[in-house]
Amino acid sequence: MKFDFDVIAKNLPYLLSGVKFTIALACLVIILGTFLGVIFGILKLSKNRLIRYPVSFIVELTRDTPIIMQMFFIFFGLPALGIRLNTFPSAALAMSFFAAGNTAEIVRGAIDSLPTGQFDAAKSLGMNYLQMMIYVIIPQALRRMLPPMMGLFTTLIKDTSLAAIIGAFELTRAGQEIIERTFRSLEIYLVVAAIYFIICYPLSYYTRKVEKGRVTGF
Amino acid sequence: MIEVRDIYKSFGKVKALNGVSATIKKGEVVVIIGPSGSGKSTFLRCLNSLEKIDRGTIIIDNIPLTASKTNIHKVREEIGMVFQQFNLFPHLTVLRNITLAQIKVRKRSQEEAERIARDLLLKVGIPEKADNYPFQLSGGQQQRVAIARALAMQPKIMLFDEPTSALDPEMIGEVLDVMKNLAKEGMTMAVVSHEMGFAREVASRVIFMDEGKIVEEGTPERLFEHPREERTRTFLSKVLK
Repeated sequence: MKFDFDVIAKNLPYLLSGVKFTIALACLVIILGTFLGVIFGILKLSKNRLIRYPVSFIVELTRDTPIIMQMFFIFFGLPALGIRLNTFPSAALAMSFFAAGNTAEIVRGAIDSLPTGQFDAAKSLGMNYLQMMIYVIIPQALRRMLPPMMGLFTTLIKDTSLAAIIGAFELTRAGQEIIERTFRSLEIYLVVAAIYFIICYPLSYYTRKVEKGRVTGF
Repeated sequence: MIEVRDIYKSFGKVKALNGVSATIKKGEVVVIIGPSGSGKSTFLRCLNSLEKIDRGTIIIDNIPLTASKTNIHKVREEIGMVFQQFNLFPHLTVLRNITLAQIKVRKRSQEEAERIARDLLLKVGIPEKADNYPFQLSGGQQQRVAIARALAMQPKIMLFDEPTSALDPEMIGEVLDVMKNLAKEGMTMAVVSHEMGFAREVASRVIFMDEGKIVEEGTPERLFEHPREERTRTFLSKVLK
C-alpha cells in the first residue's frame, strides 16, 4: 500500500472546517466549565451542609462517570423526558459539566492548601467573607490553580473528539466522513492526530514551564 | 474594655478552655504565660472570635461578642491582631498589605491609607521596605510590617499571639522594642508570650494559665517573685534561669 499525499491535500480544507468546531466546542466548554467550576468549588467549601452536600454530589457525579456516558445521557436519555438537544449543544453541555466538576476540585484544593493564617489575618482586619475571598484568598489560590487548570484544558480539547460518537461535527467526525468516502484511514487519522497535537502541545509545554517557574513559598 | 466571663472551648475531646474569666482595662498591658497546650493562644483567639466559644460571655467595649445581632466584622475592626507566623499577604507589597483593609474595610482613600501606612512603617523602623514583597524581608521585618498592618486600622485593642516565637534570637529585640513603645503610648494590649523579660518590664499584669484555666494572676513583681501556686512555681523555675 502506498502513502497517498493527494488525499490529504484534497481533504485538508474539510478537516480544517472541522477544526473550527473543535475549537468552538473547546472554548465553550472551557469558559462555561471554569465559570461553573469556580462557583461549585467555593460552594463546596461552605460550612452549610445544605449547600455543601448537593454541590459535592453533582461534582462527584461528573468526576466519577465517563464523559461519554454523560453525553449519551443528555443526547439519548433526556429526549425521554421531553428535552431534545442537537448533537453539538449536547456535547457542549455534557463536557461543561465534566469540566465544572474537575475545576471545582482544583479550586477547592487550591483554597484548602492555603495556610489558615491567611484566613485568620484577613478576618482579624475586619474583612467580611467576600472581601477576604476577593482580595486575599482567590488571588493566591489562582496561582496554585494555574498548572492543573491548564492540564485540564488540554484534556478537554482532546476529549472534544468524543463528540464525534454522538455525531456532532468537529475534527474527528470530519475525518471519519472523509474516510467513509476515500477509505484512506491511515493518512486521514495521521493528519487528524497531527492537528490535535499542534493545538495541544504548546499548552502542555507552557504548563510545564509554569510548574517549574513557580516561586517557592508562594 | 474586655470582660471575659466563664468561657469554655473544646476542640473535639480536648478541652482548651475550661472556665476562664478575666478583665482587661483600658491602657493595660496583660501578658499571658503558661506551658504549651495551656489554652493561652485559644483564649486570645476567642477575644476576636477567630475561635467561637462553646459557652460563657465575652464583652468587648460594651458589645457582647456572642449576641446574634453583633456584627463581628465591626468588632474586629477595633481589635488588631499579630500572629506567630506573621501571616502577611504574600501576593501584595508591604504597602498594599498595610493599605488593603484600610481602603476596603475602613473605606479610606488610597492617598490617606498610604500616608498612614508610610507613617507606620517609619514608626516600626523600615520605611524603605514599602515596595518590597514579604518574602524579601527578614522575619523580624515581616513581624514589624504585621504590627503596622494591624495598627493602621487604629484599633482600640491589640492582641499578640506569641509574636516573637518564630523569630531568630537576634530579631526578637527589634519586635519587642516596637511593642514596648506601643505600650508606653497607652495601647491596651493582650500578649501571649514566652518573653519573661518583656513581661517584667512592660506588663501591668501577668496571667498564668495551665490546663485551660487561669491559675493565678498579679503584677509581674508579685507573680515572678512570690508565686502563690505550686504549678506557677514549677513553671517559672523552668523558664526563669
